[in-house]
Amino acid sequence: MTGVLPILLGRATRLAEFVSGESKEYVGVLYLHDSVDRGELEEIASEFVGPIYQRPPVKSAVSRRLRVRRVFELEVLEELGGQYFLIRTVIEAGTYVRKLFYDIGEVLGVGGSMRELRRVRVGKIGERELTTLQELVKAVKIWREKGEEGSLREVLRPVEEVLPDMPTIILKDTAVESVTHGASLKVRGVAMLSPDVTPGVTVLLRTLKGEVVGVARATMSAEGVVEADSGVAALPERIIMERGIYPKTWQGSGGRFYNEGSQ
Amino acid sequence: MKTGGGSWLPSGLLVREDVEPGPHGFPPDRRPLDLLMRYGVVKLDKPSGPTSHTVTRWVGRILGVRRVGHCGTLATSVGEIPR
Repeated sequence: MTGVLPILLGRATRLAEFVSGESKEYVGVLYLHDSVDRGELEEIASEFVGPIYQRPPVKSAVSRRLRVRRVFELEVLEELGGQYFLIRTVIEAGTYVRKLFYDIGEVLGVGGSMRELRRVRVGKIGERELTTLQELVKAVKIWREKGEEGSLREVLRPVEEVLPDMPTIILKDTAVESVTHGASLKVRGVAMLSPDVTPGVTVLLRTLKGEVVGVARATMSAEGVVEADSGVAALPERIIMERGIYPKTWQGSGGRFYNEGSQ
Repeated sequence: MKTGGGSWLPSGLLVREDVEPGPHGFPPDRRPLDLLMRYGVVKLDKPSGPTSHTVTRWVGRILGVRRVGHCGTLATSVGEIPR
């Protein structure tokens, strides 16, 4: 299987679950064990759109309970001949494509199996932006040997590019460093925020320059944050920005904002 | 309002305090390479054959980055992992 595989580096690995997103798109080859005409396959395929029951296969990373997964789109792109069909599908995270193809074969009554699969989209990341291993090796070589950053910068991208749209709080520069030390975000540290911030939701914390500081749990509504004079707007959960990039704005050894030695 | 960070700002934001960004930090597209190595992403086109896990380790080795992780495993033809 080939295709989109976002690889996070260093502290960005903490945001993996957000990058994976809700849905993924695949193009794969379905092989039917007997001949079926395209119209019949299309009719059956359309019945798989919507919620479906799947039991994770024997060799799987999760418990084998029957579970519901959603198939958002499923279409026959092309009849390849010799009982092979090119299929495109958009599925919810956690859906087994191989199982889906197998089940389509079962419902058709002839049996079927998945022969090739390519992931063409994960969240925001489409096929066009991808880098091959060879391109990566070449870019690193040019950078190491000639000191030229250009080609490496094309393949090594800021994590911001792969994060989905989510409720966002933009911090004042003076609030950034304390959050990287684990302090709660006070309303006075907020510059702007999206109206969809509500208590309990997961929010992205960003700086005025657009840098992702991390992910937090909001404790107030957007309107509340705008109107309040004091209080906590959000509690940091996963911080990826390193300490020391923004200035420290508090006095003393730091004990006021976080427990020393908790690093 | 001016933000100095380019056009990254989502529309429809509520403003609590209209402040300008200061000299610290880096807009993502001007982030120094060493910081990108410490929290960047490689949008890889996974080749067929090796597992997602193996390919991820290769990328770490190529870049000299110890901590690497991938999102959403693309199974090999043998094992089945939820996608």
